[in-house]
Amino acid sequence: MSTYEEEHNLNNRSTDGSSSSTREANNSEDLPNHARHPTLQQALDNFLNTPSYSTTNIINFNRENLQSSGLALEPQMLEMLQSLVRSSNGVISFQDSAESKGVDDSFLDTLERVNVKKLKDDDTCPICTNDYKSDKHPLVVELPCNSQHRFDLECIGPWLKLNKTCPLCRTDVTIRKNKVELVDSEDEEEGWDMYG
Amino acid sequence: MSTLPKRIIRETERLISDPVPDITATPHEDNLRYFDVSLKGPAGSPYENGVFKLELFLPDDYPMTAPKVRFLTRIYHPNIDRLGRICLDVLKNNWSPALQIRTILLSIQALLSSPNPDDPLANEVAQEWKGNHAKAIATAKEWTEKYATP
Repeated sequence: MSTYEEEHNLNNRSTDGSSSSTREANNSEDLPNHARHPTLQQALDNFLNTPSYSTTNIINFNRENLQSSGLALEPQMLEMLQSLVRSSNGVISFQDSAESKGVDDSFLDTLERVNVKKLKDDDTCPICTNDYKSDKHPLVVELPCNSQHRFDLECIGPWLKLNKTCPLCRTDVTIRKNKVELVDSEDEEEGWDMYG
Repeated sequence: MSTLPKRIIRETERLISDPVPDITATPHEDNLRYFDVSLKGPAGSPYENGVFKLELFLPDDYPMTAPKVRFLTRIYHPNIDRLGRICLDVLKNNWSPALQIRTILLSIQALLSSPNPDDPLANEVAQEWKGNHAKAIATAKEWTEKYATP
């Protein structure tokens, strides 16, 4: 059976805009011959794959850098590369901001489970609109804003990872949870020291 | 082709069996995520007696993202531009997966009754709306008659 993520194509959200635009650059007909030299490709790949990808890199990505890798660049070529980098930077910072808007998996684990006995037969999930009880073992959670704001965990999970608001009242779900977590963090008192 | 989620099937069935007053939404036979919408201009608004055509598309990740909706009929409104794009919070930042096609269409109908020229999409229309209100209303009525009369 397909999962919620599969049904909604939520799995492969990564964009490979940078690699496809690299390809475009290589295929472009009007590049000067020396620009097709493999080292340019390498320089660009190295740059784009640098883990500490940041605005500082963009600022440093200038003529000096490229010339130090042994490439003589025509001005149009340089301009094109820089705009390529700017556009791929746009993609990356967009992803960053989308990620920071939501909650992480560990937050989802802290959501209050709703006991199946508390669910009425015709209670439905506001997101998928299915009766909870159409599933033999429904996994239903309530959000901290209101005990009646309930959802299938597999429906609310993908939403909260993108947005930390309750779909029914738009309350920020992380606000009260933070306090609860402070209390819970005292729990980890398991004594393993006896094993020396 | 991926299967259509039950929610979309259910929403579509309800739109047909229990339609919203003055609104119809009909899915395309060959693409059940694409709807032809028609919406009557609300009484008391300059769009009264007009019937506006819209297109509505449910993206692959609906309901995690909002439906895409656009006016196909030309309309003189400060929050709708000449391409038919709509400036409405619930279609952008204020989308929630608990909203549905019917609630979105109701919001659009409400936007026709209460335009918001302080958050314009069509700048010239918004300026006219604020600067020369009577004339703006007259133009909106004129356009309704010209483009949206069946």
